[in-house]
Amino acid sequence: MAWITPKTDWSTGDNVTADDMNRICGNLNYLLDEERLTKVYTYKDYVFLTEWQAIAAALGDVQAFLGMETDTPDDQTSAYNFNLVESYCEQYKPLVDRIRAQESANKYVGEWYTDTEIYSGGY
Amino acid sequence: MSTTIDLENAKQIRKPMEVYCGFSSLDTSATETLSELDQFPVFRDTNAANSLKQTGWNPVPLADLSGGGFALDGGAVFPVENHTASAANGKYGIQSKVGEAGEYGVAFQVRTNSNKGVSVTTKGSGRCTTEWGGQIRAEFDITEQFTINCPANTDVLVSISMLSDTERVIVYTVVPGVSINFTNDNLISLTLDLAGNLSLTEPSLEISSIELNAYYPDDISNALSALPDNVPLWYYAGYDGDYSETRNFYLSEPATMQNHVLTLRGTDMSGKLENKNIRSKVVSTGKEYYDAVKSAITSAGITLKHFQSMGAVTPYAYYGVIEEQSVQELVGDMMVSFHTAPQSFWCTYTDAGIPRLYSRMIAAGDTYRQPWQLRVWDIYEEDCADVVRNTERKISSITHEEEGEPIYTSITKVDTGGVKIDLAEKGTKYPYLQAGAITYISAGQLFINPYLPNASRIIYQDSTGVKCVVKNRGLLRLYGVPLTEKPFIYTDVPTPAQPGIALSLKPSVRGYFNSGNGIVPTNNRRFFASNITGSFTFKGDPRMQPRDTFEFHRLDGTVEVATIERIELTHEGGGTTAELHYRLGVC
Repeated sequence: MAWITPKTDWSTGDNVTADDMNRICGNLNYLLDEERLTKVYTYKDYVFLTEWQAIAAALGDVQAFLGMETDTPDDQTSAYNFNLVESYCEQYKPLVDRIRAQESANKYVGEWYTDTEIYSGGY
Repeated sequence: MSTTIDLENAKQIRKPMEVYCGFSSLDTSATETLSELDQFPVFRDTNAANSLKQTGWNPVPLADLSGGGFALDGGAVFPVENHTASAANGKYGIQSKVGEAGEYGVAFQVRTNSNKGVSVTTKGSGRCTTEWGGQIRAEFDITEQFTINCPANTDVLVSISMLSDTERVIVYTVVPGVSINFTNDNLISLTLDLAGNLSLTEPSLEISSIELNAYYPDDISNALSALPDNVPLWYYAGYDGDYSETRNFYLSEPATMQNHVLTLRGTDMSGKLENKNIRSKVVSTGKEYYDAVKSAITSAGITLKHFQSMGAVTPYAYYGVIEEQSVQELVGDMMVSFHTAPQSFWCTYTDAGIPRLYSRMIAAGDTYRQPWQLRVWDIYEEDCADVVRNTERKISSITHEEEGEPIYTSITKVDTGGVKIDLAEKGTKYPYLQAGAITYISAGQLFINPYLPNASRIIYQDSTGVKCVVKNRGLLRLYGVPLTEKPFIYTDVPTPAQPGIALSLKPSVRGYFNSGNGIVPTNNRRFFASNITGSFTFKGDPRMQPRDTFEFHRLDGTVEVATIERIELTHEGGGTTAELHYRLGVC
């Protein structure tokens, strides 16, 4: 789930390609920390309504996880909707990264190592 | 700001214009069956066998990642898997998968009970093959709209394979009838004759025409022979993102096809005005006149395409009387004599010949073609050939048609409480008032006695009387007011000793009235028209039309403002040329 810098300056004259869809899905998977949006888009594909709604739902789950107010796109193919999704992804990444870093740090304090030999008694 | 056409016109050799034209004549009476839609893997409406036959169901652009992706202008729709097309939902049609060129496509089998061809509307690039009776009958590259030969009661298999491996082929409609779009790929020649008339003496409304010759791979001569009259033909040309207005014509003689060359000839609708008369009517404001002319044109069967609402106009003290005449004569005269200050009836052409009527103030950003304020085009003599200049003898006097009858400069309403006419007989025509005065009673001044049943009505009036439908026998009273007139006085009549021609004037309107921003008609302005005309050939511009003005930049450095009278534009062999006729000045 590699992060790709979002595009946040969509305009009505822009076209959405397979690379754009894969970036959006990949970034949401990154934020969710799971491979939820599994479709890999190619130039042969359509973006079905159910797939777009799954993207909107994934964004909503990220917002819920972060305690943010839910603000998800509607079903229009508009520059506003794409800017909304990608702008939030860009905005949420540092928050999610910080939370994950904190979780990793917590792991090293007060938790047993389970895959390393433990020595006691100072011997 | 220069447009693409402007930038190309500035070159000595411009790239070939893209020419688009076509016609459509669907046979709504034929029955059609569509079957076998699964020959190639496709994505389609669940009810595709029906949706393809529905010309009224709009195609829905989908969020499709092929062909460069989908635009974010809100036009595309995220598709659903099982889409049932309808008038409300629109239709997806049948859409090919995307892959290797030649591997994928769409196919269907069609059968009709008529011999008038089957028209197919598509998107994308593909190679179409038609087959029946075990033989391949035609093979050609598809266009956005094309017609295939489909013998009556015969199963015809139509297969369209993709020519691109990145863009789908989509079929949206398959319907009986002939509808073909032509482009540079199949056009051999196209000639457009946009005709106007700026004659000083008898300006009339000319009829514009079109003739096109095109190569067509399938033999559809049977279908062409069945085309009815007045099939609409359309045309526009230019470059991507910058095209001329669409000009509309109508088939004027049977289409023919020989050796795969299809020939179509059409004229515009202005010919319909020739046999249409306008009834006599008294008008006191520009709005009343505008409404009367608009009604006359639309009642001739010409559809109103552009409409502009007019504000209220204060009636003037005088009246104009539109006499009964053909609408063609009326409009021809109106073109000349209804220009006052830059705000009155400027009639320009739309639909290659039908005048666009409007009356409005010139405002900033006004896009109407009002030649008073704008010089619309620039043409340079160094780019022209066969430059010819003519002069006519100037008008020296104006006479009127009927001997002894004055031309009225104003008609005044005499408000004496009205004149009553008692009627008793059903269907009888009753004359107007006493002799010695020309009296016209307008509809607004003429009404049925309100105490009688309202089933009676006025059905006809002309310069001699009014005819009513009397539903109930008995007394019926009509009220009207006589109009008195004053003899016409031209204010700028040259002295009779001057050489020149005598203009015999038959005005379309007697008297004059307030148009809203000036008094019309302005017959005097005929004296100010130029007697200099000319013509030349040049590269042409499909945006130009009669009554546009232009600045003619002469070789000696002078610049003349002139009005276009006629343009004959020809697209042939990848090039465009034109012959233009003009009259000097703003006409």
